[in-house]
Amino acid sequence: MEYVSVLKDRRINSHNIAFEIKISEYLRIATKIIEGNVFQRKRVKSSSTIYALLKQDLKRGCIIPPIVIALNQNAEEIVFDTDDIELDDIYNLLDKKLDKLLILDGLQRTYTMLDLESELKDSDDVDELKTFHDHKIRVELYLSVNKLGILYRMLTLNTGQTPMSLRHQIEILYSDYLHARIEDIKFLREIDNTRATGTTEYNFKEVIEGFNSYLERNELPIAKFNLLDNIKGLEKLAKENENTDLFRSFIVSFHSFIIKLKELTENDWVFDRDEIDLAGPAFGTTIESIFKKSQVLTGFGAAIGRLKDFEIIDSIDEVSGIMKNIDFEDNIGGGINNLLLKLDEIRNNAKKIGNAQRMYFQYFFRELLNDETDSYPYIDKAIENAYQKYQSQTAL
Amino acid sequence: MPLKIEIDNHFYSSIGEPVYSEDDETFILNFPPPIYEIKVDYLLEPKTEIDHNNYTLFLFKNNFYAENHIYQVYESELDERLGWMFPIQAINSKSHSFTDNQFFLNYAFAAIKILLIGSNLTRSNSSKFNRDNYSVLDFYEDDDILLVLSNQKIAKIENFSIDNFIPCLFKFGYHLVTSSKSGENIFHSQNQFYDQLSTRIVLKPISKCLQSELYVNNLFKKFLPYEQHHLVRFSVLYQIVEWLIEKIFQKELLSRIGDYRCRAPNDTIEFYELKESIIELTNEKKRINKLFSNYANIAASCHDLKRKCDILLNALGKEQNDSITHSLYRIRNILYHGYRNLNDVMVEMVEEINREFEIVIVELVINYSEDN
Repeated sequence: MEYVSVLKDRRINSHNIAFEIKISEYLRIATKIIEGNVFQRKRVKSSSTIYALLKQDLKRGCIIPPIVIALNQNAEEIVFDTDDIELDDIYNLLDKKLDKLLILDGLQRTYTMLDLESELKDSDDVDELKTFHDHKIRVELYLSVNKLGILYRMLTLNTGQTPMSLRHQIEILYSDYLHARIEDIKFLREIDNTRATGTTEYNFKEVIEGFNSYLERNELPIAKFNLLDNIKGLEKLAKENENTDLFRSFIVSFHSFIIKLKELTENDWVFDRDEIDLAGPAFGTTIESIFKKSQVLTGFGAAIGRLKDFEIIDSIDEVSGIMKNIDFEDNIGGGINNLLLKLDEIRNNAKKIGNAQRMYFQYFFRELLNDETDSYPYIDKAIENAYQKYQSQTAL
Repeated sequence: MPLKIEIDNHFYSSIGEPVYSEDDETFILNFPPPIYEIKVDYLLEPKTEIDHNNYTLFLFKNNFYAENHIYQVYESELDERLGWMFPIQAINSKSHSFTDNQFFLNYAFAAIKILLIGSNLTRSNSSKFNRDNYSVLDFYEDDDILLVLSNQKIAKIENFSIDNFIPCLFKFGYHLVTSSKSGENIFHSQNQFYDQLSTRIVLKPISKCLQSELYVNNLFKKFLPYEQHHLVRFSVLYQIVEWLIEKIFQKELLSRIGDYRCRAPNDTIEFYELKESIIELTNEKKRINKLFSNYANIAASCHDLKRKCDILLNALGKEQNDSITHSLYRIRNILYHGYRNLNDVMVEMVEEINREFEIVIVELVINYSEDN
């Protein structure tokens, strides 16, 4: 590996270290990165001819555009001076922090190189394999200052033929929380084939959707937004994230809502079908199964994003404090049953049920958390008034 | 048409059948050349044992739809479920009430396979090749409605054709998608019938006497979904009346001549009576009366149409009587010969008439019979 240069990316306040590396060394690192991050993107099966051509070119020693990787770690934990960087520092960094590396750009090229390596090994052509392994490529390493900075760079780099969805990129970026717990919160992956049922358990995918709704200030599914909107939103958010971990704040504040609901319902509220007449199955039958759905998390994300934009709240962290004061003005069970009735009504009339329920919950949280509304801080009043707002928007 | 993806302004059609992958809960589609692969998410429980070749799918529109409006489809004579009618949203969502209904899930799985193959459908969209995972809605329109029928069940209906059920479906607001254009969905009269649906749609075919006639098809597929002008809408609807009373004329004329030939071909008195009866037969109002009262037997269903006609007649200072025939025929004459005399308020009255007239025309083409 040879050192090339260090440049400062002032846009995302990060150092970009460009260096040359033998393909064999790169593939050793890349294999670990791909294995280590469950969300790192799978192979895109696109033009077999294009990648077949790339393989042939690689055998002949072609140069490919630099592969871009990033260290997904807070800057203060990086222990060397980027103004006086030594090659050994980079070596050490890559070896020690393998589990924190992400491939931002060049994943499909990496898959092609891995394919070629495998083919050459199978063919027992030792000389050709060695030539391939010894050939050098350029790699750029971003030393991040924060996750949103990386996300911004991911979005701007990832404009190729088959860009990843924003949600997928956020999943990759925040995947370290799958292992490192935030307070007593445990994240479950879809791949684990288990659903979050406990009070402290959350489905990672749904939290990511909720967090994205905060970033977007919009409760609708991620795919509907274009890249430019994402980038514009991130510019503002990168500043907000400088001294705090927004994702952490997001889930902690939402969890405070769940904890408060459990406390208010004395941990024993369960849906009783005899109490209300629903046209279809209940939206949920326990506090957890109702309030941990993606519709609720995305509604929450969009609502607190807007409350912050309207300067009703100063930061996400403030939400946990407000949650301590929420209550039911009247009967608790009646309030939750009323919520189920409202959601049943929405289901029977909405052209897109999921989106309509997201919109409803966005109004619900805006009613509940804004001290300028008639509902604040009562859950049952927010349930009713949010429905009025939903109706006025959709003219049911 | 098969599904297409767009790469650098080139369009590629899918090849082969989509394959369901249990690992990813997606369908995998391939596009040549060379091979591009995309994945289409399927959120519902997969019924991989279902063979889509046993089902037929039609695309519809309906302004009144909601995602949860999922109906079983029956035929009026055949006491068996033919299939299901549901919004395309229902196969792309787990938020509705039918996600555990095993019968629905069978049809949903057949539907998505047929949609992803696309070849027998009149319309599918292309999507840009720019991401890993797609939704079926990337290739179809968000407000598409799917009618999925069991081939085994429709085989029990003699000479089954979806065209025979279009007027009945139109009554509930459903309009068949016939091309890349899907019409403006100009439905005026149907919400009252749509609102009455709960779990089933019971289909009634059009009269056997009319099943080979092109005009009925054109009316419900080409004219009513697209044409907005009230005068044109009245005219194309009234064509059905004109056409049916012409059929009545021909049928009764032949019948009377036949009777005359059999009874007294040389009797002067009988000949005179024949002549009088033919003169009477040329009276349009009388034939309209026969149409509503005898041939279709729907006079009782025409109250609202008569009421709306009478409002306009009253506004114009015209006399009214108890007969729908009288009212409708006078309106026809006013629109054809005196349209220039209508003011804006009266034009709105014509639009109200058209709403009721649509309902009556659907009843006419379903109930018309020459077996009386």
